[in-house]
Amino acid sequence: MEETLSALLPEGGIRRGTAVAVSGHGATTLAMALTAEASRRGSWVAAVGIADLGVAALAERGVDLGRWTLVDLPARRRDKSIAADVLGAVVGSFDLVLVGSAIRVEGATARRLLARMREHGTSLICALGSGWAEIVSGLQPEVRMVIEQTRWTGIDGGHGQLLARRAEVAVGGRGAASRPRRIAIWLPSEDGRVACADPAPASDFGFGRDFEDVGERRAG
Amino acid sequence: MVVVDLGDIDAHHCEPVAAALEQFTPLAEALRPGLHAFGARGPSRYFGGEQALSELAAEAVAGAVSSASRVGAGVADGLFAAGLAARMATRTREPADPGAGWSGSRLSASAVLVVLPRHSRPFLAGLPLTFLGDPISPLHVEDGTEELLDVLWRLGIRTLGDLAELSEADVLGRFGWPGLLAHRLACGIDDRLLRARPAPESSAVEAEIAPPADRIETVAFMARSLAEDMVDRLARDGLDCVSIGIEAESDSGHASRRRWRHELRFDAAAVVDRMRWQLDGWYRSPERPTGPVTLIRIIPCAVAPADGRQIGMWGERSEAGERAAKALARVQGLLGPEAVTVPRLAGGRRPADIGRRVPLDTAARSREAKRTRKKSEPEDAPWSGRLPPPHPAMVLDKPEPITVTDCGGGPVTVSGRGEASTPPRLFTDSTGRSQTIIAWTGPWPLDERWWRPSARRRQARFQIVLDDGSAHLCVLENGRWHREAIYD
Repeated sequence: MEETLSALLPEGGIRRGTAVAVSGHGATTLAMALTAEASRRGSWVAAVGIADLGVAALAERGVDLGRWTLVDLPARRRDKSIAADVLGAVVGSFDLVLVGSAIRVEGATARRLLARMREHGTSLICALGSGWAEIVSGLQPEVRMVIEQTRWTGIDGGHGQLLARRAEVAVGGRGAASRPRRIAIWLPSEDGRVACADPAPASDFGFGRDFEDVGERRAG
Repeated sequence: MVVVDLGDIDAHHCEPVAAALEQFTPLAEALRPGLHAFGARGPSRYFGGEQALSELAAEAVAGAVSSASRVGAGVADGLFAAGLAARMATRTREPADPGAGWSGSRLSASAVLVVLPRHSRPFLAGLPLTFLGDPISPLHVEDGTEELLDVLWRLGIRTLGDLAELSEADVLGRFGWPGLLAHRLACGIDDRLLRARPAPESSAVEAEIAPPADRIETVAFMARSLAEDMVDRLARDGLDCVSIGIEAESDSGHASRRRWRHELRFDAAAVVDRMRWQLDGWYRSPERPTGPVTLIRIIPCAVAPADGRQIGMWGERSEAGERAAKALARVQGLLGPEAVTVPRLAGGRRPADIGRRVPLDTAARSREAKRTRKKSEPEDAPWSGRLPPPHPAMVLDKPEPITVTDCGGGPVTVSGRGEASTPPRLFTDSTGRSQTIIAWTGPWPLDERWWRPSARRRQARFQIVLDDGSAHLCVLENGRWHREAIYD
C-alpha cells in the first residue's frame, strides 16, 4: 500500500476480514484510494449501493478498472433483506467490498456478515459521506477515519479552479487503532495523488504548527 | 465449404437468410448475422456442382434480404478460404483466369468466387495479411491478434503468401500458438472442420422458463447460466464447442431452431449472443410466435479437442475471477441483470460521459468488439470543454435541482459574454438547506452539438466550495441550476 495510506492505517494496511469506516467530506476519494493498490495487485473489488460513484475519479486514484464491479441497489428495493442478501453474495467472493451509506446492516444480519468476512478474508470499506452514520456500528469497524477541516486550494472568488484539497484525518478504532491519531493529507494533491501533507510549509503555517504542538503537550 | 457474406447486417436480418439457406441444406450455420456457412459436398451434387449451388444460394439470400451491398458467396476447402473468397467475390471485376485455380461470376444481386479443391493456398497468397483479423478468421476473437499482425507487418510480411513462406518452426518459436494458427491459415490449412466431431448427445442443456418470458433480455439472462453449464461440462472432458443448435419454444406452440458456428470456440457469452440474435430475428419474422418463450435448449453439435486456452470472464481465467463471476450472477438474479455494471473510461466532456458504467453482460459481450471500440472512442483525445482534474468522486445519476443566489438573494445568471451576472453567495440544495459559498470559479461554457439545433445543449458550469469545506460542480442551463457532481 502506498506510504501515505499505510500511515493512516494502524497496521500499515487493511487487515483481511475486518471493516474500515471512512466519513467526512472526501470519504469517497479516500475509500477509492484505499482500494487502488489492492485492485492493481489483482484483488477483486465490488462497490455496493453507491449509485453516484465517479468513474473518472476512480481511474484517477489509480484503480485497475478491470477489477472493479459496481452493484446498484434500486431505490425502491433498498430494504434491509435485499441489501443483506447482496452483501452476503459478494462478501466471500470478492476480496474487498466498498459499501455506501445507503446500506443498513444491523443486529443478527451484521453478525452473520462479520462471520462471513472473517471466514473468507473479505475486507469491507464503508464510505459514509459527510454525516456519521450509526449504521456501521453493527459491523464493528476496526478502524474509523473521520476527515475534518477540508480546505480546497486553487479556487477563489471567481478565479482559478479546484486544484488540491488538504484535510486532517482523525484515526481511531479498536485494537491497534485504539490510540487516536491525527494526520494531515492531500486528498488529492495537485498531481492527483493521496499524499501526506505534513509538515505544512513553514512559510505558511510555521507559527500555527508550533502552537498546536505546545497545546498537545499541555493537554498530555 | 460454402460461405455467404452479406457484410454487417442487423441481427434480425439473420432469420430470413437462414430460412433461405434451408432450401439447400438443413445444416447451414450462422457465424454471425451476415456470415453464413454450410458444407458443399452433399448439396452440390444435387444442385449441379459447386458453382451452380453457390450461385443459387447467393441469389436466394439476396432475394430474402434487401441489402444495399451485393451478396458475396465463396467456395473453398476450408472455412477461412471460403470466407475470404466470398469477401473477394464482390470485389473482383472480371472472372479470373480459370488456369489460376479459381473463377468468379457476377449475377444480378450477388457475386460468386469458387476456389478449386487444393487451390486455397495460391488463392490466399495474394491477399493482404490483415485478413487474419477478419471476422471469418479464428484469430478475430483472440486478444493478441492486433499486436501479432503489427509485428509481422513491421517484419515486412504484407500478404498471406509472405507468411506462408516462413518456416512453421520459426513462426511457432517466435509467436507461439497464435502465430502457428496464423501460419496454418495462410498455408490454406484450416483443419477446424476436420478436427471437429459430433458432440456427445448428453451434453445438450435445456431450461423451462417459468413464468414464460416475453423479453429477450430475460431469456438471454437465463440462457447465460445454461450456456455456462454446457461450456463447463464440455471443458471438463477437454472439449471446445465449435457449433451449436439453439432451440426456443413459445407457449403459442411455435418453435425456432437454428445452428450457429463459432470461428474458434463458444464461451458462454458467445452462446448468449447467438441466443439473442436468434430470438430477435424470430420475433420479427413472418412466423413469429404469438406468445412468450417457455423453453430454451442449447445443443452442442460439433466439438473439438480443447487447446487449453479458455478465456473466462473479463478476459482471463482465475479461481478468484470465477468466484467473483458466480457471485455476480447471483446478485443479478436478485436485482436483475442491469444492476451490475463495470466502470469504463470513454470520451466526452461531462463527468458522466468520461467515466461510464457499462452493464456487466454488455461488457462481457463487447470484448470481441474491443479493438474497434478503442478506435472509435478515443479516451485520451483532447475534448475541448472537458473539466480539468481532479475529477469529482461522486457523479449524480440524476442532477439535483438547486438554487444559487447572490448576497441580496437575487438570481445568478450568465451574460452573453460568458460572465456571471453577480458573485454567487448562497447555495440551497433540493431539501431546502442553505449554505454560504466561500469560493467559486466559472462560468465555464459548454456548447455541445451546436450543429444540430434540436440536440444542442448550452451550459455554464461552476465549481463551488461551501463553508463546510465541500466542493460541488454546478451547472446553469436554460436559467435553471443543477448540482451535477460532488468533489467528495
